[in-house]
Amino acid sequence: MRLSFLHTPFLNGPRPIYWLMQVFTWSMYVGMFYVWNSLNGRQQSGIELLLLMEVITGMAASHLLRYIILKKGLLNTDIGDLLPRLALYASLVAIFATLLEMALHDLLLTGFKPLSSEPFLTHVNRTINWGLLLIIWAISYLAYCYFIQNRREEIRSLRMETANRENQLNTLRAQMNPHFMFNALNGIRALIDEDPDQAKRAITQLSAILRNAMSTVKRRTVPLGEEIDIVKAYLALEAMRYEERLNTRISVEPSLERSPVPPMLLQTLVENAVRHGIAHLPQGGVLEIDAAHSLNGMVITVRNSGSFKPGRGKGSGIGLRNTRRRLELIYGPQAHLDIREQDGMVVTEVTIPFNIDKASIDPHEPNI
Amino acid sequence: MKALIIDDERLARKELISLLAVHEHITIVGEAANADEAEALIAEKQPDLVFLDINMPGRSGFELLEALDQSPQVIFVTAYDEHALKAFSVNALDYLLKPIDPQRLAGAVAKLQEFHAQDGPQRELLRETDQIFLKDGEKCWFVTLKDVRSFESEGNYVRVRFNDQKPLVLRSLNKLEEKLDPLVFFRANRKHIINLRWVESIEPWFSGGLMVKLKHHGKDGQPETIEVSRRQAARFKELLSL
Repeated sequence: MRLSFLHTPFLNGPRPIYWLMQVFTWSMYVGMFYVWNSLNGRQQSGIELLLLMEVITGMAASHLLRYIILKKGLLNTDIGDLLPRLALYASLVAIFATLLEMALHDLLLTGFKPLSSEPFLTHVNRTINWGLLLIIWAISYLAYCYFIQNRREEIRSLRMETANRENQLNTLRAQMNPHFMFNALNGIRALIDEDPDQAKRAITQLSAILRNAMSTVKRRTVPLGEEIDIVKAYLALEAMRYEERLNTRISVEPSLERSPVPPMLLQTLVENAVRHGIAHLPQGGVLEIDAAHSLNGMVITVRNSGSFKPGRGKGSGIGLRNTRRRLELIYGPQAHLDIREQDGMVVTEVTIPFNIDKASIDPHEPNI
Repeated sequence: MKALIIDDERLARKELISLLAVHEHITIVGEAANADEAEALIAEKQPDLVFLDINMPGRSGFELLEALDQSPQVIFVTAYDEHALKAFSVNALDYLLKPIDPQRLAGAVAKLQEFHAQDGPQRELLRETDQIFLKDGEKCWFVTLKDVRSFESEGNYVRVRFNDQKPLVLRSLNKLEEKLDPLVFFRANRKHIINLRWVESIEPWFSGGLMVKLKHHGKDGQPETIEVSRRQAARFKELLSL
């Protein structure tokens, strides 16, 4: 397993806890040595200075080893690769520690017998001793790092999960269109007395829309026929509210029924046409939907009575911009959306190719 | 109590009518499907209460209220409108959410105070107890005229001062002056109309004018002052000497 240690703050400089642990562990080690010596009756004057020197040597050597571990990226290496390299670095640092210890000893502790006068075998012994200590130190250090990193990864993945959920929820909320939902429910409440059969139909249509909104969050494309069914249910409910003010006509080339389209694309356009078109006309108007073959794809056209003034009113254009972005993500430059006013009608035209651009990015599978 | 229902959807009106059937003291005197119809009906029927949908084709419910000189009591009705809900919450206005909960409807109706018997079918002037509807940006208020200290003209707009609020609304000061009771509201100068009930003291001012201090202190602790022009000073004295 590879762990990414990029952007982890403790690479930029050790935290106070690191130094605290350093002082603590090395003092403990040297302290034990001191206790061992005194228990065996080997007391020397000035031993405290000697022990302090050991602490300093240990800390310097282990800090150097830490520097090498981080510099060489040992934290990101596979375990099989890690151990031999760690052994090598620890040996090199052990030699450094032996030399440092000797230098400090002979320069500062003039009352003792110089270490440099010891036989060569003693130095080898001391180096091996340092090496073992440093390896133990390094393993503890790595374990600590892995622990911290693991915890961070966990928090990060939890955060990502939350963000994803929130995203899904937002999408869902947008698709539910609360204004429409509550108005439809209000209409149904009135219909229960007036026309119970129509009230029943309306509830079925509303369920279809709700179910669709919930399931399409995960789907990348749906057959056009399916999308048209939802649009029909939606328009039937709007017709319940607007009555004679909303006149609809839908015409789809039968061969296109199974062609894939992005879910909720047509639905969004039709909702826009109702909300920004028909809803503003006291006398109501016409809404027409057409789907036809084009050169190597299809053209879906939504026409509605009303006028189109770009950039007018609060929040206008956000829906269109989102739809354009979706099209671009799925189809690349081959798909486009045009909106214009023509003979007192607002015409929205979407061109979609049959083949999904392979180079395009799937918006539902972020590249991590 | 005479009530008017304003909603562009027939079914929504029908639903509200059937919900109101149990409230015997409320008589529905009319239905309107848009702001234009509503304005005509309000003038004709003089309702005490309107149930008003915000989202309508043509003018919105807010725009309708802004066009009225005097507002009847209003219960807003909306399905879901974030802007409107925000406006309501600012001033705790009464509103109902569709589909309407009968209990909440009963609560809103119970809160309304009964209008006192009217002095004649068509009133010419706004009285102190009348309410006006004001909207400035996202905020809106129903203000009883006796709480208004002054109106100040700013271009095509009028700044209305009451409590610690001073919204700017699209009205004409001259039109307002015609509607207001001249025994209470006085045109102090070209730019101001003041509420005489709020006058605390009057001092002589330059070139025959007067300086009026109002019973309200601004943020700096100083009382609000408005100058009465020389032309109006004589009328002002006459009015007060009554």
